Amino acid sequence: MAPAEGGRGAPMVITVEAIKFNHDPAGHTTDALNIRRNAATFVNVPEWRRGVTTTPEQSPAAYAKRETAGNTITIQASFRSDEPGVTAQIRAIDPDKNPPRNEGGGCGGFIVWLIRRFLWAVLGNVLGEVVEKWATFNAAGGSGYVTFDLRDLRLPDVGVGPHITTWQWQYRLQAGAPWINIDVTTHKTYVLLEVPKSPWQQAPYNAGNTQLPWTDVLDYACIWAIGASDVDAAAGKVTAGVYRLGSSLVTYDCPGGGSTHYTDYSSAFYCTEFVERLGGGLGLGQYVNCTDCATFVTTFANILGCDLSEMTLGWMFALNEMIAIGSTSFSLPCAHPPDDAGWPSFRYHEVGWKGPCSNDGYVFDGCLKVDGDADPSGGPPHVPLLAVNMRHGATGDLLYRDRLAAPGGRPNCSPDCGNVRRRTVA
Amino acid sequence: MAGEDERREALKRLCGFSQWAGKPPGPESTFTCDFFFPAAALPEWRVLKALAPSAAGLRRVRRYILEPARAAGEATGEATGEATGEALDLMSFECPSWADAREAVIDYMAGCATGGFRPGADLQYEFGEVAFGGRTSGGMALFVRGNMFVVVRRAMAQPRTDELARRIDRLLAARPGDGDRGGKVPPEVVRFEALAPLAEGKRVPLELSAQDPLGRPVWHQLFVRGGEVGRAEDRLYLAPGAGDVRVEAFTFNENGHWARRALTTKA
Repeated sequence: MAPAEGGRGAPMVITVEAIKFNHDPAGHTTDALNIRRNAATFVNVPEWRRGVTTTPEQSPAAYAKRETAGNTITIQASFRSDEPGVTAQIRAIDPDKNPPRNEGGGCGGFIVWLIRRFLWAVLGNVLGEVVEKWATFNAAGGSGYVTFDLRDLRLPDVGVGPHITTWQWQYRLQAGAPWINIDVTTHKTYVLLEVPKSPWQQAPYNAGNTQLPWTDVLDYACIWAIGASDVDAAAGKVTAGVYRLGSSLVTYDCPGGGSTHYTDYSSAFYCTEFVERLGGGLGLGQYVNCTDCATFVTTFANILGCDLSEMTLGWMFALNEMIAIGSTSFSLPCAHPPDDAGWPSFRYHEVGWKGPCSNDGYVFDGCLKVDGDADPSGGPPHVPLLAVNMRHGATGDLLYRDRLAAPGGRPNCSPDCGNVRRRTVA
Repeated sequence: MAGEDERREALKRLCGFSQWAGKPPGPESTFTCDFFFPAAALPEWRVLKALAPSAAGLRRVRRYILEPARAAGEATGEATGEATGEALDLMSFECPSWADAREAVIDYMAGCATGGFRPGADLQYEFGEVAFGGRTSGGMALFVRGNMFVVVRRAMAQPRTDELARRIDRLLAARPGDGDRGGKVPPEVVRFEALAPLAEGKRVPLELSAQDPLGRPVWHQLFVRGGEVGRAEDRLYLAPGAGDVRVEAFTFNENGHWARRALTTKA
């Protein structure tokens, strides 16, 4: 069909009015996931709106690699023309995909080009380009929502991460004619491995459901687990990310006897406060215990598609020396040598957990590092080891149980199958 | 593996629970309702955060992050506890009975991974009918007063916890001074009475309704002699003992101004 020419002499103006990434809340195999920003704020669709959206962060979308694999991803966009009744072919390309190589010239220009290429590869567009499609404008100049396929996606090739998509929108009125640039839009895209698992939900999809995945959590989880291409690697990276917080933001609750500060002891995780703490604010303070760390690990890993639970171990078991979160050297928890040797035992311990509630379950412990050497109950030197996807094991297996608990405590250091949970985010 | 009950019993033995279980000592005890942090009565503390009220079973939970007003005054811009490194975490558990407040101590301790609580007397803590501290003096403080179980922890590295615990306990344990009464707009006790004839040991509903003329929240402190006050199915009850029963109710508004009403009777 031949498009109409603009008939005014002046160039015709076509604008992008809105873009929907999550255009089918009932599905997530060909479009984006249902998400919200945090407990208080919903992500409205269309995510991008003309005159409202000014930064990529204001236009977020999350995709699950596993569920979208092999499918054509689609978006919907609406346009406006100052010449009603015309038909235009519209597309969007990635202007950052192939930056000009000789910017500034010489060696410096080459380095700049290399850096741009690198940043694009790591954090740049994964949604590819918007395949051209004809749109017809009605008498009021509106196109309604047009569904576009995306092509050249990098979604299957990249791991977990946050990405910025920049699209240069273009139109033309006749096939084969030169493309005319219109708007540039930018969007923040989160690449997840799978659809987020409990406590996160995809339904019901409404502003009142605070368990929809939060971009405030994705902002940290995607950075901690950047590049991870399978769920175990992602959970491991999240575990390490949580433990690293001990260098600056949190420390084990020695003054309070190892109490939880970021959960309500049963079913709720004060995630809003934790995110505030991650951002350098007060949150609920600097102290955490194993319940908190297990909850951080589980919640932040599961939003990426991992499937961990918070598992309690115990009751009352003697400990090997460890490096608790916030500490820098091996000791019993809360030791202050030479006057205080620290606590010889845990009443309980809580960890991120994968698999069956048995010795065959796997531990992701963001609260402490165990001794990774051949004799974890022996003296120094010790080998710091973060338990990441480490089988719990039976006494004598030299696995997590043996590394955490002293020989006398090992029989009691068992998973408590009555205390497996995933705390809801609040 | 030990079950929940077994663990609690072990903790009780460890903490000498039998010595402080049950009812408060002394002829008069307190019962607190609808508690919230009495900021006006504790001007040396500033509320940085007040978490939404929640419930742990029948216990009503309030939680606050506080900083010394001194620190707040010194902070610049929007800096708060994070900048000053001084903040405390206050949790109050308003329990349905005196006995349950003591059970709440055990529940709290069971949720602490390392434990190591020391009796308050060992730390020279002079507050609460029951009090415990942490490994170090001032590091944490918990106490029971009537039906209230209160925990003061550090949110940041400073300050000490025992001073705030002492101040709150004093507020819960003592009748208000007359000087606090004369607010321009004090609350008003609308009704305070037993809704059925009293009989020894038998629970009868107790009606306590109060209001603030400006619609501000109010909390109540009851001083009970000769019986026990508790809460069941979200209603207060009075279970008189033998002889005279006297319940004196104080209702406070957020400015610390109060009204009083007493109920004296015999089972």
